[in-house]
Amino acid sequence: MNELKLNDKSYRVDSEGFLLDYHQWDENFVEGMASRSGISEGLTGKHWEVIRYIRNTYDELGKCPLVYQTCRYTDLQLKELESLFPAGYMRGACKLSGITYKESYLNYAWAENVTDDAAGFTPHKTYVIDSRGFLVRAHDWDRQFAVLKATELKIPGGLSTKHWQIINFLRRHYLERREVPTVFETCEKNDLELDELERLFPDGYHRGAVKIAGLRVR
Amino acid sequence: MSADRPLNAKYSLDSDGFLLDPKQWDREYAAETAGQVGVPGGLTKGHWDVIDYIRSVYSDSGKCPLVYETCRVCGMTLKDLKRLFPAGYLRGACRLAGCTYREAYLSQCSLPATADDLNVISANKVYKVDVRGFLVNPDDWDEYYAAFRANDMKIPGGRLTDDHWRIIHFLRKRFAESGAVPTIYETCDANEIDLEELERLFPDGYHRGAVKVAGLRVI
Repeated sequence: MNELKLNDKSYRVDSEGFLLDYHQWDENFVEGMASRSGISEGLTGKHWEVIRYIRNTYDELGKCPLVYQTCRYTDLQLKELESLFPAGYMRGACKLSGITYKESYLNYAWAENVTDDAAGFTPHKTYVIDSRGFLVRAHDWDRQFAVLKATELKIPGGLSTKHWQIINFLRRHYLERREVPTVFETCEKNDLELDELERLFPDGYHRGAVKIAGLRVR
Repeated sequence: MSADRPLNAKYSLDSDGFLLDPKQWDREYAAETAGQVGVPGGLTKGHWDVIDYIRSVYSDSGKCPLVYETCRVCGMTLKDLKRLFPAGYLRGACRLAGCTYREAYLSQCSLPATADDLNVISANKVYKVDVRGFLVNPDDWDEYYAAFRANDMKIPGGRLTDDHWRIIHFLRKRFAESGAVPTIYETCDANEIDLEELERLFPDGYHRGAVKVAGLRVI
């Protein structure tokens, strides 16, 4: 972590100059960071339009908009975006907005779905996966991994209470017996019909539920 | 385990008794293995319906069908399936059919699917990822990693096309040369594609899609 001084105000940034706490963001940060991001002629209304769009989207949806959405909304061609933010979309526009994909995961995938876990978000944790995306060691699993996998698999609407019920069942069963329960056991013990399981885990039982629970049969 | 020996001699099996190469499968394999997965009385028509369905999907599409599809097409409830294959769907039905999600992934990626590739895939290579699913060490990247991540991310069409690979290899090459991830501007310019085309290829974003699949990240 570094302290960055811009016009006498100090900001906490990472080694690449990205703002660590988006709450620290203000217009002074944008003004100060602009010249360090290849914007030599000063900020125009169009710069601010892009920045406000990114900030507003984040405030409303908890997500950093994709470059596609930003260009569409602000009616900019990629070439025009380049002339505004030559350092890149993330390294220019998002950096000045104090919001990147990192903040969106924090809000969208983690905070809203996990309410009863005191451990909280540990952004520097890593996981060892196999080529198919399955967690290699079942004991490395945590709820954060489940959220990561569910996000990656685009589970419709994110993990609900019902999803967690199945995931927790799988984990408990595995820890007690060192074995992944069959789809039959899982449905029976949780009073689930197959079509309900499909709605919850459209990627499959093993390829969806079991994978998110950090387990695998083979 | 003495009963396994004849099977082991004829077929290549992994440590859990799964067939390693789906091309080795024949009906005798299924019949011989049935006893090991809790089907002691021999295979009935109901068993064969399921096995044949899994095999036919696999040979048509290169995918192992999901348990949902198999039950739907065979007109079975989960209870029916359980009576036939008490060891489970993957551990019972798919094992007897000689193909599972592992082989399915193999033919879903656009890499040549040879026996050697199968060995690479079974060689237990692992990858360290961060909490957002980005590869921690770019040197760990390989094409299988890209293919499988793309599959998980539900890339349109379910597999990487030549157009995707062109972008991925460009990113890898630039990164190897300069140590930096090229900006979206450079990537679109150098590959002569516009933003719409990039979105069509990587709807998850530039950094969150293309760069991620290429095993890279900016921050």
